[in-house]
Amino acid sequence: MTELGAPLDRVDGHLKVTGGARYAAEYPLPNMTHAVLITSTIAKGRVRRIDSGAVEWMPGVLAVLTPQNAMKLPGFEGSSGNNAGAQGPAARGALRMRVPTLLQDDLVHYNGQPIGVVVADTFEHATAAAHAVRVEYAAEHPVLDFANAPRNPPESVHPLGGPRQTNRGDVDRGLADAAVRLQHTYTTPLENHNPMEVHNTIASWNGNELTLYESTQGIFSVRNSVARAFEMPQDKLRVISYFTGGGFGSKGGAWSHEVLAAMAAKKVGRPVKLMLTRRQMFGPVGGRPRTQQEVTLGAMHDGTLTAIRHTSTSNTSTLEDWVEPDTSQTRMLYACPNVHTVYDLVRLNVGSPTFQRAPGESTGTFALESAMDELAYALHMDPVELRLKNYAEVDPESGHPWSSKELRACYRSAAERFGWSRRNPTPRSMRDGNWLVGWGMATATYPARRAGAGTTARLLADGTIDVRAGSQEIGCGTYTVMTQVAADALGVPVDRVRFELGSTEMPETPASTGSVTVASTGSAVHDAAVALKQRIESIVPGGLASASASDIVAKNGGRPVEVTVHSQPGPEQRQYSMHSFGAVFTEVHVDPELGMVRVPRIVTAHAIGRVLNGKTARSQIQGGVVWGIGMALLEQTEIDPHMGRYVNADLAEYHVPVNADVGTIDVQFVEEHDPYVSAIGAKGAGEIGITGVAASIANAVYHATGKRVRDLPIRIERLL
Amino acid sequence: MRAFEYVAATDIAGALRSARGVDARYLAGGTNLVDLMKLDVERPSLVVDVTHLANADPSLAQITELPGGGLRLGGLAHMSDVAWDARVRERYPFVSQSLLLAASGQLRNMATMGGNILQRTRCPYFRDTATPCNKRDPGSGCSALHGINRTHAILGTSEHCIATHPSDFAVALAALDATVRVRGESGADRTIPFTRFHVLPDAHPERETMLEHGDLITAIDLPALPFARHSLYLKVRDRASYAFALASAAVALDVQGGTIRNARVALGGVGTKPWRSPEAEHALVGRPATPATFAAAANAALAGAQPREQNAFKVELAKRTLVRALTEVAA
Amino acid sequence: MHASPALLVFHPDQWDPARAEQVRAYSRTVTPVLIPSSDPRAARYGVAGRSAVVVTDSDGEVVWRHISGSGALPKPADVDAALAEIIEAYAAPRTGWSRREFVGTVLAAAFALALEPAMTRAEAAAMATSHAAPGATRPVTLHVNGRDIALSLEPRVTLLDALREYAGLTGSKKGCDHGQCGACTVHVDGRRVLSCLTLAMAAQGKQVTTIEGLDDPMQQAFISHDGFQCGYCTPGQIMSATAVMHEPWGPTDDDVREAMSGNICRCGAYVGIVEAIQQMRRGSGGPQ
Repeated sequence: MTELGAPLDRVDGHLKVTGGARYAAEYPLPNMTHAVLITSTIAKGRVRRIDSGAVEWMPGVLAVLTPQNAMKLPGFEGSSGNNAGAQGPAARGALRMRVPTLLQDDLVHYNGQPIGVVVADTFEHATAAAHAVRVEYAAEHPVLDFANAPRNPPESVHPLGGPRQTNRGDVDRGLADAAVRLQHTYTTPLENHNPMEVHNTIASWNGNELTLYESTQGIFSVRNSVARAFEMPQDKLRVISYFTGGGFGSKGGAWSHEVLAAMAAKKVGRPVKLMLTRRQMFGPVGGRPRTQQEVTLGAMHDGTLTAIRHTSTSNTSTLEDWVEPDTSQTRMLYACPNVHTVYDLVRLNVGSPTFQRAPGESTGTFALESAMDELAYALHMDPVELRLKNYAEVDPESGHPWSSKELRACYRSAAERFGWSRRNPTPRSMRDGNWLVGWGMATATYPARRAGAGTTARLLADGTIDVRAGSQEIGCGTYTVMTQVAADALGVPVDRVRFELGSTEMPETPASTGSVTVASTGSAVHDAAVALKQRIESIVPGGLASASASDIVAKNGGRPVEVTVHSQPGPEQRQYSMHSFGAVFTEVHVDPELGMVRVPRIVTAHAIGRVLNGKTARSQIQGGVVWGIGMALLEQTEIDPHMGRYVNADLAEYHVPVNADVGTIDVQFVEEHDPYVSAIGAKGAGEIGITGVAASIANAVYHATGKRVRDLPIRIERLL
Repeated sequence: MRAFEYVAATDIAGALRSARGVDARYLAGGTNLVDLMKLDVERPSLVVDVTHLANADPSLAQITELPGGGLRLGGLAHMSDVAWDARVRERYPFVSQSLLLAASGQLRNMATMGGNILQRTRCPYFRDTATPCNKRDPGSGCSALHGINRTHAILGTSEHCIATHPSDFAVALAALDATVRVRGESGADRTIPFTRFHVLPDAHPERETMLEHGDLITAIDLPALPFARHSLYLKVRDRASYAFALASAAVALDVQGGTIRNARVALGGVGTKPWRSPEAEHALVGRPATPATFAAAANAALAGAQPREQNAFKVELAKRTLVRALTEVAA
Repeated sequence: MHASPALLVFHPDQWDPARAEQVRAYSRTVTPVLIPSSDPRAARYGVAGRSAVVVTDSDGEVVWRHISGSGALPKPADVDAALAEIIEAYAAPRTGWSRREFVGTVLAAAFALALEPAMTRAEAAAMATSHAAPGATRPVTLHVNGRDIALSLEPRVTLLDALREYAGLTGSKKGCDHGQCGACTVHVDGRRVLSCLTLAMAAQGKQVTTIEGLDDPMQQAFISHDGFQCGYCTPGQIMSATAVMHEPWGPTDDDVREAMSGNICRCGAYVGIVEAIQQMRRGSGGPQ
């Protein structure tokens, strides 16, 4: 009997459907005050003066923090990286991510940047005062033009970026040898994450101890950043996050509002609740940068790739260098001997970009898989056959064997379920009433990463197995799958297990980013459960099968039986190349005269190692696919070209998919056994769902209309 | 929001009295007013809640028959109630469609007839007090002219303002020649033909309607128009639902023996006001109901279009939307 | 329990990871004792099956009791306020209540230590009893989930903020505060509406139902079909979904998609949401 894989209802489901799940802003601390950010209305320059005197008399206002009066943060370096807190070029040279703005200087880097905080007794009073504040600027001319701004190699890259330039074989010769060559530029726009729960924090000091009730994907990352800013010991800072209302990469660590809330709480001597407005979700908390990617493919007539060149330019802010690693999959996806990748940055006066659901692979697969589709048409070859022709049996970049790879089975399974064999390859050949019908496909892939994690497991006298790990629940189903992992390893029913997460007082685990949680924390939970089982059996031979929990605890001196483990990946990470793979098949309907695009059905098949819960994993893939629909057809953050102001900074004009945009999404998992990727063989499902989707939609639009759109989002005016 | 005084009126006379002489706004569904007050774009010092007026006079929230076959939509009737009313669906299908294709279920339960036609533009520069806008702040400039203007108007614009009127319902009302019934501060009733209810921005985009201070919309009258049973509202937008129109068309056709005897055409998503098109109607009446006629009507409707840098596609899109609507309603 | 006064917190049996944290805010000196309300002791204190906070003296006699109608635990501010009242009551000399004077002293010490050290008791009591906005506030009575809630609010307070910040009902969520996402959906007089665009004052005299007041098989349907992930849009989705059951929508999946398009789900749980709603519609004999 195993609980793993079973489509168990979420254990936090009852709380979520009754309004009982508590998010960051929902802790009713006594004497709470409310804070609202003041944000800049210019894109570049300096804050000369914030006329706080004029609002300090407004009803209920307790304080106005500005660059002029804000406390100097003793340890300001402002990020989860290292190095001291210089801004500008010096900061860019440091290995860092996410430079917050903490009122430590008067510089303005983008329109919408936090430049102050109003604290008042009520939300209404704080909001009114923040609106009323008058700011004097010394404005400078901002750099906003992506097309004409200078391109630079990044001065540093975050660890997921990969090398700035890679060269495998000889691309020029490969292109010369090719029978068919093509070269196209693909672009993706600025995007913003827009989780349903805005970023928000309650900061509460008790003497020199700080508690933050946070909406985050990374409680330890937040703790470490904030502790560093105040130069306080980490054990004096508690970060609590039992439920997070979505993150998608925007909540992987601290931005500005956590420290600002803590500064405000220190100033007024009362707890402070600081909630961003939806407008403030555009700029201050990251987004996906714009990318301009040029893909060159060379191939023989039989489809064998002889050369791939993938160059990318993306934007970053003037605060920090951050790269969208969209050339990553190009190095490993196909067995091509000659591959060249390189990326550059343009620095604009916009908010800093950050990791946004499948950073790199989402944007990169759009370019690569669109190019492969164009190649298939140029070769008069079935797009699936072209992928299979260039199937990589080992990692072509490193030469390492895959820890597991069931991509062929994914293509086969999804193609069959989709009915791909009925496809007429000629564009504009398929109709449904007046609608043009198009079918397209693409490969999906995402790295399977793992980091170290800790877990404590205890047997209580009443028979409960209490398992705790300082992880996060952002909607992936962590509470649920960890319960299943522990129950399975211990050989007990799931209702005997209680899994807790969300406090930095628990053992440290990685942030819920990069799809690492099941591999990292899942391994630790597994190992802890196994260790607990062994400890129990050392107390009473036969363990839970032969004695009651109360007896075992009694034999343990009346104390719960407890183990704590730290689980770490091993040398297998250097020996194997670990990735998830999948295939996406999409049907679109395009109105031939009006240009509207609908996506009535998408069929996917993914191989993600061990599926821990069939229900939640299906939801993860569907969620990623919905993101892919948004990316392909709807989402674009618009910035005024003169003022640098975010122009569609709300949910009415920034179009995330609504229910009517989504048809059927058929999800399959191909069975895949991987003994290397984690103790439980699971790879993670949070991000692979979006990869390949935009390309499959663009490819389907081409098949429907004969028009190849290489710039996202595919808007009506492209198809008129 | 700025602080304001709030009073709940119990009858129309009381509402008018409360609003007299002060910077007041009537609050019905609140879906536009409260939204704009949160943005600090609307800043009344007094909010007069008129949602209880129907207690004293139920017809304010109801749909009542007019002699001759028209319908009176009470000013406080909700969008959802009107949309699903059997008489509206039967006699004026494009009115029902224009309501159901707008907003969301929740918003339609809140928003009223009067509030809907008074809703203000979605232009992001109007809605953002940090950016210049002649409509919100006369004389400060129009940020959209040389900024982001993909969703802005191509008809009825001026160098002072190119903001699109966002209401779908108003487009059907324009096509119908509806009448707005208003009670003014004096207590007297008057009527305003719908096509004159909204005014062009010209040099004063801050002025949007013919209403005067304190005017309360008591009803919108839909005239009897038998061929309005053959009507359609077609809306084209960026996502499948819950978005404003890029272009839309409200059309009604009376076709007998293949010839168009009568036509009503209005466009949405493209005008600074709901855009009734007598030019299109003139190109349709007396002509055969064929693709060539519809294309000519579309060209006539958009002949005066003034596109900007990013919304030029709307000219072609609006034409095709109109042609599609005419084609479908004639079928 | 019989050796010293106690602060007992009775809570629903349901697991809630945030419960200990909420209770942590009640008192820093008198340690609260958490007891499931199915426990026999709950019946003894008259709070069986309810969420409640009970203060007992050293004999175990109830000195003060607050039962939460909404199902949520009382706010720390409410507990502080009640304790302040007790302290005032016991500060006056009374005959024959020496044990209670003792309790009053102990509780007063506990209460004072729970507050900011610099504050006097009077200041603390005044602050603790006032969870209304000072200034131009007016008495506002909202009828929520079958109960009257008396608040003191400025006119600019929305129904959403009245629920979340003043009435302790955090089930309705703030996603955009501008009527663009649906996360704040509640029922007013049986219709689904957006509470973020409703002024609290304008909701007086009407029946307001929030997710906390809902007991509907739709909730289990959402669980079975996994119609949520992070859960933040979920209360609004369910309030919309239950209302859709009584709106004249057509029977197809596309009809449901359109009906529910005013509730944005960034996690993309739309497939499960439609499945849950369609299961309910089919089960009840079709759309109403």
